[in-house]
Amino acid sequence: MALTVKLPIRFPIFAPIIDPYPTHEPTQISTEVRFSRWNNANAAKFNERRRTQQEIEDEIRRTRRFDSADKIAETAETSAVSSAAVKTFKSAGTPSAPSRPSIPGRKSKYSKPPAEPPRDSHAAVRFSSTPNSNPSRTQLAPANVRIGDDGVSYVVEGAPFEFRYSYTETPAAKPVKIREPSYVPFGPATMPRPWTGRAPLPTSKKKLREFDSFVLPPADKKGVKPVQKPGPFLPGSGPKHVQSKEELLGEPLTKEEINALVAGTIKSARQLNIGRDGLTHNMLENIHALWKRRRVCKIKCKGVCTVNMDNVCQQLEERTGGKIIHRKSGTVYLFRGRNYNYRTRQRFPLMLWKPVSPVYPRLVKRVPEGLTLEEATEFRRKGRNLEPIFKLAKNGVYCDLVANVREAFEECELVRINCQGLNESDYRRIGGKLRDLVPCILLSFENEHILMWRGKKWRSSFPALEDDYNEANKIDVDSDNSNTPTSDAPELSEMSLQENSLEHLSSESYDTSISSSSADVSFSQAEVPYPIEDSNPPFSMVTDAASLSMGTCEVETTDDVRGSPPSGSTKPSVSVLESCENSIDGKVDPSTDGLLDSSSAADESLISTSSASCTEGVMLLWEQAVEKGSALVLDDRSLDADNVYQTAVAFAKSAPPGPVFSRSRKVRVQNNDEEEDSTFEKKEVTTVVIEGKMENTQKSSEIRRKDFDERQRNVVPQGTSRVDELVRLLT
Amino acid sequence: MLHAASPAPGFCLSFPRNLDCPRESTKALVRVRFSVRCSVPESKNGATKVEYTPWLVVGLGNPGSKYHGTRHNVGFEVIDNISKAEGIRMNTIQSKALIGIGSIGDVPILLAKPQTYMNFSGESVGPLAAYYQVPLRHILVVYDEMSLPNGVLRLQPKGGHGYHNGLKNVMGHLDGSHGFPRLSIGIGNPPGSMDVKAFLLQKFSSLERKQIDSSLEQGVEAVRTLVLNGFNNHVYRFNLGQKYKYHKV
Repeated sequence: MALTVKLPIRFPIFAPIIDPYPTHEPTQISTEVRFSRWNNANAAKFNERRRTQQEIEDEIRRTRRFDSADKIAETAETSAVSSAAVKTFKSAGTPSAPSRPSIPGRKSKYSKPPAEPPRDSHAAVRFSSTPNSNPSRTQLAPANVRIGDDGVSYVVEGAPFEFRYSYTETPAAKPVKIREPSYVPFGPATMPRPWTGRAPLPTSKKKLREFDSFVLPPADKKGVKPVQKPGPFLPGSGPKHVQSKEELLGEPLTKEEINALVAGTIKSARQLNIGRDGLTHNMLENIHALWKRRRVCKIKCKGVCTVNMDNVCQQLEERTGGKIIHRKSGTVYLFRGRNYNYRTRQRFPLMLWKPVSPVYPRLVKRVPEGLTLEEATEFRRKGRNLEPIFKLAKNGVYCDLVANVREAFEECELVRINCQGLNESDYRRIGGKLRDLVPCILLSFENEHILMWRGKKWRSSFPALEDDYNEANKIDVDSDNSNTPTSDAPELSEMSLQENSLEHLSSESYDTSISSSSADVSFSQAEVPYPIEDSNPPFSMVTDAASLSMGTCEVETTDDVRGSPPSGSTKPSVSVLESCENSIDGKVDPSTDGLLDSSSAADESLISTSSASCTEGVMLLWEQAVEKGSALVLDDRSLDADNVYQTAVAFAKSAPPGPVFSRSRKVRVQNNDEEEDSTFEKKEVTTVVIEGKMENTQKSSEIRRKDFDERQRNVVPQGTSRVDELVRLLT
Repeated sequence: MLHAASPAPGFCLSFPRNLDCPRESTKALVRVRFSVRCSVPESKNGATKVEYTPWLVVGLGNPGSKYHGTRHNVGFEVIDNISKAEGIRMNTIQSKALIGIGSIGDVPILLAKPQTYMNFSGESVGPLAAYYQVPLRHILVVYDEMSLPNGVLRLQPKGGHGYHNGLKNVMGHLDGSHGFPRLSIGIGNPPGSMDVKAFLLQKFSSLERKQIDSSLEQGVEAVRTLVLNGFNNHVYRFNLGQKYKYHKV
């Protein structure tokens, strides 16, 4: 028995023809029968199997290879022919209009795919004659709008003011150009109805009630949103139908009314927010919508616009016609006006689209005016290491930024502000505003910081004192005394302007000694003599600081003789001399240099008698305290901190308790009687004055007095707090 | 001289907000007038003798060498600097404080370093001021302030306590009043969530030490100006300069 194997290969059996380039014909997998074969959509991709892109490309490449090989083979034989053969020119196209890719559908860097048919040109739509649902912008705007002067405002006839996208954020500078061709951002007066495929619905016959603020719905009506009455009206007046702005506002609000309105609005949840775009045009509509129902609109401003809060408030009042009744850093309470009626309010067209953005000139110039490139680079380099005066919070309230920057400019000509975390456009806008408000020049915005220079034309707001404090704040001891004359002169002249001429005598002398900021003995004395003469310029009196104090004392005496007032009393000069020597005394002690030995020896007699002439009173008290046993004098060896502490503790146990500090000053007056008869009157007056002042602050001290019960000065507490007053009145 | 009777050549100060004046004292008065009362010689006629109301300059701190150089003791350091600069020897113990009497120019001053611990500084300051009859406006308290950056000084005619226990105690013993001038020395905020007490009792870092040293000198200058001229625009400019001293190029 032989199995008959039926083979598809017919005789004779040759070696099977292995196609070296097999093309996968559908017949090869037709053995896989999974689906039905007739008109089955699912089977379609199996029935007529489309080749993949890869296969197509392979075939195309193969065909070309063979063709070119054939051509070479053919034309090699007939070389004569080949040279004359016309080479077909194949254009590669141009970059903007490349030729089609040779393998269709293949992405190539030399050619672009063919342009796709436009999206909304579906066959069904392409040939219809219905109008567009999105009308082109320029066509249907209200006809009487024109673009205003600066290119960003829109003037509509009959409108009270020019319309702008933002009333507070529009820069003052004129734009250089506009990015797109201008269009009017307002919506059309009547919008065509979009195509819905049906006949228009019949308009409703129902008469819509028009909202009138003066005619409120009855209180018991259900389903009505709450509306606040118009007003508040002063007694004896009612709502008036008026149109002008002042009339709408009505009488200025009284304090109680304001407090009542604000108190009612503080807790309300409805508020409008103003952000980086400032007061926009459509916000006006929102404000009116809020005023429909409530009298006061609460507006919270955050971010860039708060840099110039004053401008925001002014624009709000102008554009809306309301009045700001309360303002607290970023929050504004806007009152609508006593006679405001929503029905007769001013209507504006809404901006449906953001208008064209203009291009403004650069904020930061590479070489700002007044500087050369090197100077500017130098500033920028210094600024990179400068400590910023502020870090701005993202979307915070920057009300006092301008004031602080102005203050900082008093001290240093470069100011840096840290704006990390803010949007780039935000801190650029802030920089632009600062440039206009604090007049200054922006140098750079790098590293998310703003670097500003105060400009050459900067003037301090303290013209009289600028020089004073430049001297007084010098950290380094100014050993070069030649500097001081020039600095002292303006100082003294300014001082003379401000102070009483009589006060020149001592105050100026010590002022100049302050400015030197050095404890140098001879130097300070050099300055003492010259203020005696009020009007003469002090230059002549400045002696070389290195001169010995002996020498300066001599100068002094001569000046004293010259300059003492003609009344003949030598008291002022003596006192000055004494004080001069007092200062010698004060300064000789720590610095026992050889320099001053001679002077100190010579003046010793003077010193001992005149030392502490001003501290007489205090020294007297001190001596009394030592005698009484409430004070203990330590010698120099035991001035160690621990020692002092222990001694103090031990001593305190044995010492009698000290007096209690009280502000009623009765004790003081008595003491003063003993001391100075001549000055008694003056002192008494002052104590009375002081007392009067102090009593006013007693109320606050009541709270603190409770903590310190050890003082029981008065049997009847002198409380002036409200509760105590009530108690007193009632009893 | 005390010019109360005649229209004093006082400077009506309207201090800007940043000097932290408490509200209560401005409610009752229209303005607080700080006239230059102490430093002016009354020298129209030779009859009246020259007299100046003394100043009491108190530095707050903790006694003992253990606390020497810590943040809370900057007040002591300022007083030490003033005494060195003016040559005032502090060698007396009275009313639980180490005091020294001297003068800056024509004005007598008392330097005091209370030897009570910080929280009881008032116990020594109050009686001392009362004994030497120093008016409230002439008590200058020097202390450390955490709300200012390190090394920044601020001179104020009055103010609050800012949660400084020493200052609270002093205010209490001065009849609960705020109206005395102060010199605050900034020490900066404690970093992160460090314990405040630990921060205050720490010594300064080397960089901070340098800043504080330079500001101590400036502080001495400030005290000198204040004692001689009182509160005027100079003080405002001084404060401004201090506020921005690290922001200079």
